Amino acid sequence: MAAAASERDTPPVNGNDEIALEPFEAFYARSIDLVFRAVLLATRNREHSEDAAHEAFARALRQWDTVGRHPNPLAWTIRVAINVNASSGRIWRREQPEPPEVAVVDELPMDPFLIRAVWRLPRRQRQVVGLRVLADLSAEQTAAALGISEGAVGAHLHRALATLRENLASSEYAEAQG
Amino acid sequence: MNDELLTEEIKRVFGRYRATPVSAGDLAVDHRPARRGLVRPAILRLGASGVFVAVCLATVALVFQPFTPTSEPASVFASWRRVPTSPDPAMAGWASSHCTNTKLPLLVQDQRGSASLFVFREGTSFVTCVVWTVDSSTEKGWFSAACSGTFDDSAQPIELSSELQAEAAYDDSVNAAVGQARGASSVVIVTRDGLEIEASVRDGVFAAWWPTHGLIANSNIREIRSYRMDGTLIGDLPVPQSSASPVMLGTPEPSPSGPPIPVAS
Repeated sequence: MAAAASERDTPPVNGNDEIALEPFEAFYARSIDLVFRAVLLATRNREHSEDAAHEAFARALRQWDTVGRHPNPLAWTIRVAINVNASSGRIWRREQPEPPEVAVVDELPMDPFLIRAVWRLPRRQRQVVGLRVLADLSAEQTAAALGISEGAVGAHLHRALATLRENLASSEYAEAQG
Repeated sequence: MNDELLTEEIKRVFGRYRATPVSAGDLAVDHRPARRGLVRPAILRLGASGVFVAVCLATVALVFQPFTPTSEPASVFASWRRVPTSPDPAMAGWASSHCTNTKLPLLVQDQRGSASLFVFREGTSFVTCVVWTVDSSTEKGWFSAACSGTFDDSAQPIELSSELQAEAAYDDSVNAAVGQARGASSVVIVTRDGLEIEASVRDGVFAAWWPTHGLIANSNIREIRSYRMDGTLIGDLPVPQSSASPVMLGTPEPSPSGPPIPVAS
């Protein structure tokens, strides 16, 4: 799979050294949660997702002169994080059947139903939702990160959203809403 | 709710998940949390006839090389049968060396079509491993997911030692059960939807796998029955739905450096 192999060590650059390099710290601060959420949804394991996200940022930091000039450092980092997680899965990995609980003060009645419905999507659909929706990657970037075609990205996203709509309509949430 | 609104809602609700921040200095030195490498046991509790506790650990072996995908993977379960089919020796050989690096001897192979559930056992220690074949436009080769545990030494006629599930392909999941059935020559597993599956049995250990559409939140087994050679019932173990949940195994992911694709027979 060329897509998975190409990101590992030598991120492509856009060839324009004149572009101001964003400080790594700023990139990290605005991106760490996006990477974490995308990997969390792809893997359904909070701890592994944190590990993979931090590993990916550590690699980005080591090559920041290059990664920082990548057309989309966020896409590069997510791709590395997903592959890091796949590699760690060779040893020990376990998915969590329920999404992690996080206390929030402004939760709407629909929120737990929606989170659970997304969490229970099939693997590919979750991955696509994580990258396309949570991380705002383009279809092309998502396809490259997951090693699938752009058409497949669109199909998985379409199916995921249809499933979510259907599940929410039939959930206790819908019943509660009358 | 239209697509745009739904995606905005997804973004909003998942906004609650935040990574634990690490300083750039820590990233540069050693970002890895101390927990990495720790083995976390998942506890499977079963009520029924006596309390049984299994410790189960999940592993995933990666064995395929995907190429440019064009469509969804085909179901890997078309060849599944309610009664075990002839064991695939090539798959058994591969499982012995790839599933978990275990050195335990193979005890049971529950083959059903192009997928097989293996139980390796020595004494009370066991490793179960599901191996299934994927041959689609996106993925090709053998996948496996494994779990280790310990058999209980109680005298119950039937014990369910492990109930597992793994997301195998698209919406399909592999479900598996392994346990002990003392003195039994045959074992029947009855699923929640009434499917009766004849398990593979050897030396008092039974194993069976079956497909489901999607993942199952609670136990998918309603009852397990064991029989003597002459067909008389030895034991009948009802499995309350609320008392057990399958251990979910990790989903294999694409890897650029996995082992070569084996040739499925």
